[in-house]
Amino acid sequence: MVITFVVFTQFVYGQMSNYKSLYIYNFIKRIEWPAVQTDEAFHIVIYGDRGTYESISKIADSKLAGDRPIEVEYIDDVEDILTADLIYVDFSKRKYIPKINSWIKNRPILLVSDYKNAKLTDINLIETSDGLEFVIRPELIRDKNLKLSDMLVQLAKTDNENR
Amino acid sequence: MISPFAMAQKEVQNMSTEEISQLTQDELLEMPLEDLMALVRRFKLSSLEELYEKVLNPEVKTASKFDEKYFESPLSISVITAGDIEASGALNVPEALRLIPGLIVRQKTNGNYDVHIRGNDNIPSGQTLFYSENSLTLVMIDERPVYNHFQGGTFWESLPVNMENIDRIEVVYGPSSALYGPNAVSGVIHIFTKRNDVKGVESSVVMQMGAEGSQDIQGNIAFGNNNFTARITANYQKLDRFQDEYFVFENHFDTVRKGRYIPSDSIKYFADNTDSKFPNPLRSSERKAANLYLYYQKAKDEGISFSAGIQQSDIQSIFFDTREFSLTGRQSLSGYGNLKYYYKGLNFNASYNLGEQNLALGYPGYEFVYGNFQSSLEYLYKWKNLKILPGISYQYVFYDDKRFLSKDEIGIFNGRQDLNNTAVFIRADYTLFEKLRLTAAGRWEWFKYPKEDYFSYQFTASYTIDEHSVVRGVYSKANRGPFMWDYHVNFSELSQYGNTSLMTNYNKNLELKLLEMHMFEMGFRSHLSRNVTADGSIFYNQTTNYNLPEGELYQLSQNSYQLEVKKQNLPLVSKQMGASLIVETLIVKHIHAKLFGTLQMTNIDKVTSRYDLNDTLVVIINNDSKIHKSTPTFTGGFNINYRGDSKFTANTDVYFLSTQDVFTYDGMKKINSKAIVNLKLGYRFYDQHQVFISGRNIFANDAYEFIFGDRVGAEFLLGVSLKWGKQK
Repeated sequence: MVITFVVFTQFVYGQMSNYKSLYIYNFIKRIEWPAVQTDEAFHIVIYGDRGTYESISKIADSKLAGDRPIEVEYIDDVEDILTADLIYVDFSKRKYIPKINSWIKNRPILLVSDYKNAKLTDINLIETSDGLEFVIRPELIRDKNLKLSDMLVQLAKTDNENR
Repeated sequence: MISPFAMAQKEVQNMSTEEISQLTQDELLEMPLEDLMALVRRFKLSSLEELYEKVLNPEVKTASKFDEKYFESPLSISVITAGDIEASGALNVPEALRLIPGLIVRQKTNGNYDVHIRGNDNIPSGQTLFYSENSLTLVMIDERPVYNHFQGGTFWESLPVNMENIDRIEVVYGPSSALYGPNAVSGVIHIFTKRNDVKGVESSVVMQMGAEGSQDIQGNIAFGNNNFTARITANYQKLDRFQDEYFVFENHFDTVRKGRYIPSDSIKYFADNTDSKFPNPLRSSERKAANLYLYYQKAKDEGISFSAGIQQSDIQSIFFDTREFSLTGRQSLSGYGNLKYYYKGLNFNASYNLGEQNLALGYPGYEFVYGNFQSSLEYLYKWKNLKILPGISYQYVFYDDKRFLSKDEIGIFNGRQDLNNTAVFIRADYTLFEKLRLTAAGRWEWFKYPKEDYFSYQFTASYTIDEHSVVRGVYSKANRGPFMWDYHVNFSELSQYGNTSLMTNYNKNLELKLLEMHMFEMGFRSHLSRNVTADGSIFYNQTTNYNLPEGELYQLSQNSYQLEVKKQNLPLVSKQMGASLIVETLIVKHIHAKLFGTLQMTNIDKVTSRYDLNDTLVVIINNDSKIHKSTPTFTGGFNINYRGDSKFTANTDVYFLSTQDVFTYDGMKKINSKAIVNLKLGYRFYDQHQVFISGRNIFANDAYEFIFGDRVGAEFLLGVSLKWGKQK
C-alpha cells in the first residue's frame, strides 16, 4: 500500500510546487514594484526548492512581470544572492530567513517562504490539509515601498488567523 | 457580504477531479487568485480522498481471481506492497510476511523461517521435527505454485524472486482449494512481481552489508514501450549464523531422545561424516538467482507474458529430522519457465520447474532431480451482475534419485516416480441489488494417488451495509495434495544403538487419505473514519486425515531388529477457533500505521500420541493436554512508516509471538514469548538515490523462536539504493 502512497505523494508534491509557483506569479501581478526600466529583468531567486524553481521557470518562459521579463535563479548558498526582486525561501532553508531579511533591509524585495511560522517574511505560504493559504504582512511590504492590491489583502489570512 | 474567495469556491466545487486535472498551464496562469485558491482546495481534498482510497482500499486479485477492491473481497485477505517491503527493510519473503496479520513466522536459523497461516502446525505433536513444517499453505509467484511435493511445504530460500521486484504479496486466509487446487488448505500466499508498465529504461541496484556478515545485493533493469516490457533481475544474499553450536539428540533405541547444544568442533563425536553434513557451520544461508520477465500487451484484454529464472541456494535449517542434529544442510539448484496468455475472459497458464535438491547434506538417499509441470485454462464469463469462471487444471510432478545412487545404495525412490492430478472447477459470483454478493466455487480433482476423487468448495456471502461497512461469511473445504514420500517411498536405513542394530524399512501407502480442512468464518470491514479502516474476523476450522508413520517391529536376532514403517491416517481431529483484527490508518498524509493481532486456540481430539512398535516397546509419551499449545495463542504486530516530501524516510515494525509449549519427542519444551523490533532509516541524497541503515531485531532479543533452532541476534545493515529512470 505504501508504494501507491509514495507515488501518489510525489504526484501531489509536484502539483503543489506548481500551485506555489502560480501563487507567486499572482503575487507579482498584484504587487507593484517601484518603476525601473522595462528592459530590466524581474529577478526571482529560489532557495532550497528545485520543484518550485522548475515550475516558476516555466512560467517565466511565457509571462512578464508587468512589462519586465522574468529571470529565475536557483541558489545553493545564501551568499550567492546578488540581486533580486523576489526571494522565495523553502522550509528546509528557514534558518537563513533572518540573514536574508537583514540583507534585504528595506529594499523593494519581496520575501516569501512556505515556512508557516516565519515572522520576518512578507508572505508565508501555508499548506494545510485542505488548501494552500497565505499570510500577508502589509506593513512590512509597504515599508519596502511595494504597493499591495486590496484584493490580495482580502484573500490573505492575518497573523492572528494563522495562530 | 460574500467574499470573492467564497464565490470562487462555489464555482470550483462543481468541477470534477478530472476537469481540474485537464486544465492547461495557460488556463491556470490566467485564473484569478481567488479561483486558484478554491481550485487548490478542491485538488487537495480530492487528492487526499484518492490517497486514502489507494492506501486503505487497494486492488486485490487472489480472493476472486479477478481484480477487485479490498473492501469488496468476499474472503479475508491482506496485502503488503513493494513500498511496505522496501520501507521495512525485510531481507526475504518470510520476514516481509511478518507485516501481515495472522501469519506465524518463526525464525529457525538466520534468514530461514517457518511460516504458517493462523496455525494448525506441529500436528500430530511429539513426532519428528518434520511435522512442524507447514504443508497446508499454497505459495505462488505470479500464479505459479512454488510448492515442495516431496513432503509438502515451501522452500523459501529457493524462491528466485528479487525482493525489490515484488509488486505486492496477497494472503488469502482459509481453505482455497476450490480456486487454486490442492495444498491451499490454510490459505494462499501469492507473490506478484512488478508488471509491464515501464516506459523507457529503468534500473536499480540495492546493496547492503551488515556488521554480523550479512550481504545482500539486488539488481534490476527494465525497458519497455506502450506494449512491450522486458525486465532482468538478479540477487545474491549471504547470511551467517549467530552461534557456533548445534543441537544434538542423544540416541536411545527405546524412546525419547534428550538433547543439548554443543560446539560445532565437537559434533564429530556425535555422528559420522559431519564435515559433509555441515561443510560451513557458521553459514546459515547463501543464495543467488536471476530472472527474465517478458510482457507483451496487444490490447487491454489481450496479452502474453513469459518469465524464466534460475536459482541456487545452500542453507542450514530445521526440516529433515535425521535424529542426530536438529539442523540439516539443504541445497537447491533449479530453473523455471512460466507462460501466461490472456484474451478477453480466457486465461491460460503453464509453468515448469526443473531442479536438483539435496534435502539432507551428508545423508545418503536424499538427493533428487525433480520436475513440476502445472497448467490451467479458465474463462471468465460476465453477464450483468453475474460472473462465471469455469476451468480445467493439470499438474504433474516427478522425483528421480537414480543419478545420485551408487550401485549398492538404496534411495528413497530408487528411480523416477511421479504423481499427477487433473481437475475441473467452476466459480460463480453474483451481486444482488448492489448490496448482497454471493459466490460459490467447486473443484473436482482426480489424483494418480490416492485413487480417490476429492471435491473442494467455497461459499461466500457478503453484504454491504452502507458505503462504510461490509459483513461477510465464508464456508469452505480444502484438501492437501499427495506427497512423493507418502505414495512412493521405498527406503531402508540401518541404525546402530550401542550393540543393537535396527533396520528400518519405509513403505508407501497408496490408500493414505489426503488431509482435509473445513472452515467457517465471519468477517467485518469498516471505514471507522475517512482515514482509518478496520477488518475483523472470527473463524473456526476443523482438520482431519492427519497421518503418522506407524511401525511393526520384528526381532531378527538377539541384537538385531527390523522395523516396517508405513504412514497411516489418524483419527485425530484438530479444531481451531480464533479471531483476527487489523486497524490501518493514514494518521496524516505522510504517516501510515497498521496494528494487527490474531488470537487462537486449537483443540486436538482423539489424540494418538503414542508410537507403538509392539507390546513391549512404546515410543513417544502421552500428551496430557488437549489444547494444542505449539501454535502461539497470540500473534500480532505494529508498523508505522513515514515517507513525506522531505528526504528522510523512517519505518519501524514490531512482531510478537506469545509463548509456545511444543510437545516433541524430547518431551514438552517451552518457547517464551518474543517481540522482534526492526527499524529502517533512509536519506535520499540525490534524485531517487538513497542511503539507509536497517536494523533487524534491534533490541537483540535472541530468544529461540523455533524448537531446537538457533538464537538470532541483532543485525545492523548499511545500504545504498540507487535508482535510475521513473520507478513505480
